[in-house]
Amino acid sequence: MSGNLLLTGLSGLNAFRNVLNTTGHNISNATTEGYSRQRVELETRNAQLVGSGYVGSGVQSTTVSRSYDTFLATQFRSSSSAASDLNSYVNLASQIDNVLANPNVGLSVSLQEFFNAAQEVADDPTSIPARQVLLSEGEVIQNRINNLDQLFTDITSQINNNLDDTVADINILATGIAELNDQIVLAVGIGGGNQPNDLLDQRDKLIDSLSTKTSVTTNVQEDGSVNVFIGSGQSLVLGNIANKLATQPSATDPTVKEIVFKQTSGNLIVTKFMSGGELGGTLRFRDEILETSINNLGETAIALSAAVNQVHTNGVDLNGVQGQTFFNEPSVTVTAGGSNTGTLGVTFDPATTAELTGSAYTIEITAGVNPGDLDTYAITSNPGGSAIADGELPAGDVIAAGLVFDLSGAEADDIYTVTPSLVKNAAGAFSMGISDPREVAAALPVVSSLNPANAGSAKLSDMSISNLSKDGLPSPGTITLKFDGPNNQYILTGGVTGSINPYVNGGKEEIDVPNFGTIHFTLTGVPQDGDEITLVNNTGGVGDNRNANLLADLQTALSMAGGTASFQDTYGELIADVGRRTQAAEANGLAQEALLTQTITAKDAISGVSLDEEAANLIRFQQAYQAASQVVLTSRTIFDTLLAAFR
Amino acid sequence: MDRISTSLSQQLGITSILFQQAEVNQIQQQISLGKRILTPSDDPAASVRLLDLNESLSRLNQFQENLDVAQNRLSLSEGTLQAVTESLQRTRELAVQGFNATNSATDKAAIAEEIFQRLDEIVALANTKDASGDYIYAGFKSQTQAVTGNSDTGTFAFQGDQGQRLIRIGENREISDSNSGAEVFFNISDGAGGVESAFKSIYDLATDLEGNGTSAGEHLEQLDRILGSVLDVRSQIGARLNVLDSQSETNQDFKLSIQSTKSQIEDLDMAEAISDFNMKIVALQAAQQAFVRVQNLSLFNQL
Repeated sequence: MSGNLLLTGLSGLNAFRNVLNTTGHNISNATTEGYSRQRVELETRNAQLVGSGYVGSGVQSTTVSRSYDTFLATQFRSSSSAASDLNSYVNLASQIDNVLANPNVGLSVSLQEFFNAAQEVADDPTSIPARQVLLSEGEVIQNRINNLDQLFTDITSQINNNLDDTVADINILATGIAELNDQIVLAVGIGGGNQPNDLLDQRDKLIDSLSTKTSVTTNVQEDGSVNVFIGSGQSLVLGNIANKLATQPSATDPTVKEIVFKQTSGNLIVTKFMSGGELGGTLRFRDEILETSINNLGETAIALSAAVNQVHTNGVDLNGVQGQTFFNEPSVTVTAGGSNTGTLGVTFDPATTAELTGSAYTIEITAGVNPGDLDTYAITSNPGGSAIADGELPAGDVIAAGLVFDLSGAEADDIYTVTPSLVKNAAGAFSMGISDPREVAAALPVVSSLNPANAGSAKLSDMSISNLSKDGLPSPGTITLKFDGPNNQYILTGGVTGSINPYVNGGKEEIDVPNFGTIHFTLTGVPQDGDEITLVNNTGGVGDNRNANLLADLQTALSMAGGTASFQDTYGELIADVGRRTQAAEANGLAQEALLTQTITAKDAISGVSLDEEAANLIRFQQAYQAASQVVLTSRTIFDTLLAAFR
Repeated sequence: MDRISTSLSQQLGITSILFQQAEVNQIQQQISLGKRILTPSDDPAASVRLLDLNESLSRLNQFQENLDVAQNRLSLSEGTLQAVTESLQRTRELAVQGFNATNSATDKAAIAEEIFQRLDEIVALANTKDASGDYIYAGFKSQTQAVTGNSDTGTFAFQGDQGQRLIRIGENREISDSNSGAEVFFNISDGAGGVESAFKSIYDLATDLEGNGTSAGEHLEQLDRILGSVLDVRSQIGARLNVLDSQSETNQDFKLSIQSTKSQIEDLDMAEAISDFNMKIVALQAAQQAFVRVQNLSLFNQL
């Protein structure tokens, strides 16, 4: 009897010592990250059947379990993947968001100042200081575009470094998980099915860390090991084997890095499958904001240089010489076939820069099959060979794929290869083409005058020039428009032939002058028969501001996005786009943080250590331990009493 | 009842304090800059609108500068042509006086001499330069002397062209800042279907008078045509100056309206912001105090 009581008391002492130890363990680990509260599972020992029934024989601890909820753990990981994805995204996005609209760094103000400077030149075309200001403002634009490009390049390399670091972290975590898998399988085996709680916590902590790098899914095996999958199901950890991620330069763009999954069969590119976590946020930022910004800036650089140059090279400078390219345009390399007899000119089209691809093109001219048939042309992408444009050979331009192909000089059987520079390289290469203020082409090469003897009121205005090839009219140097009243037409003479027929008051007219260019103008008023308007070289016309005005007009001209947006509009669109994406990510980030806090609270309600609770347990089990020792004492007293009875 | 673990309760307390600090920081920045929008992501739509408004404002300021340039040039031209008019009127008085039959040949020669001087004066006026040294009546050839010739040579030539500079003074609004000397001084109707320069007409008049001429009639008619032509140009200039005045007002009105829209979009409501700021400070202090009080609560303190 008393022997049983002694054993019963001892069982209590053992069990409560375990419980007190575990409580102590909990208290010690109250601040250990990833620690799950442990508890000792107690159960009654098997009762003994005596004559009067089953008499209890005390308590035993069966196992030590950790308070852990698999569902909440999974939810926590997916929340923390999403939260760290958005956090990385916002951190990167705000770098660009902060800069684009900053008046001291962004492009917007410098565009305004540049076009204002063009107006200042128009106000006073002979003023060297005004011209100098225009050049300086051009340099400011160059600096702004180059600096933004540098910023984007820096962020690109920052991202490449981030990817390297994150991939290295992931590999270390994967190795750690695989090692712990190994230890856990061993410990479960040795422990006869008892769980090694602290090892499980350590492994869970590594998987939690992994989930802040990228989204993970896990699969617990019967032996206690856990398999970890990332991306579109690539197995990062299988039992005690950890696979490796790596980065490598992209095949299409060596400046950016791809994420690859190392396999024995070779590297598998998994960039587009990586979502969530720092990796997902960084890659999404690169796709959604960085690439867009780089391309937008590149398109602006191309369109701005093409549009400004188009005006500038159709004017004449203070020396009366044809304007040079104001900005150095991103290059278009044209390679002519060996047996070509003609020429091909290719420039960027400011309005359709969005259609530019990294592709090169082949242009083939084919002679007409039958005599009298027109020659035909075909533009195909190279490599790939897909048709971009074809048809009968025109005398002028074909606009396709963001480029202007001037086919007027091309001959039958010619073949050309055209390689435009990449849009993303355009901003970095953007630079000034002229440096002498006298080289600003504020004037037009031609000036009109009315014969003083004219009886009518017709006038010529709104002149502009296109395709200027020379700074002076061909011989005899004077083009005369003489009104033929009976036939209501202007007869053209002086190096050109033909007529403007019929004369329309307010009509926009143009005269193609061979070996010079095309003169565009508007005729207004009511001419009388015999009235003359002459066009002569604008020799000494230093006070002419017409081309400066045309230059200033580019500020609001819809030069980009297929003729729907100005430079400012395009840049504004970029600012809005980056702003909206950053704003959305910030808002989602806040929501995700709230969700994460909620999940952590729920998870912690189960797994976290409450020191108050442990203190209460300490008191409670200390009392129980003391009571059990009292039982042992009582058992001794009973035994002593029994001995005394027989003495 | 949910269990709250010790470390979580601490973490939540700190998170709450950090959140309040971020809010206080944001509003502090807004107050110190006086701006509601610090980066485009604060309000993307408004940021782009601001960009557009700033562009409009910058253009308006430039138009106003252009307008001042045009106003200066036109005022200079108006002043010059007023002097020309006065000179022509004096010439006309001298002609009327000079061709009077009571004058002796010597008297006529003396009067003719003064007319020659007036002629040189008008030639000089036609060669007026603006502040930047450009001849204002030479058209685009602004650095070529507009008129050559004088009362000695008696031949006068226009060296400029008919170019008329246009200056932007508003959106879709431009104005000419000059008149070509061809129009002002040279292509003046001779009353017989042809044209003659004002200088040649005056020279002929003076020469006729000097040679004891007797008939003032045709000369006076031509002088009146010259005066009429100059007056035409002056009234054109006057009209343009009026346009400049009204465009200047329009520009100022636009500017004011844009500035007020801009201010509505980007400026911070200070009263509201400061009261907000105070609330956030109170909230932050409360969070800090709550944290300290809660962290002091532990059953272990009672053991």
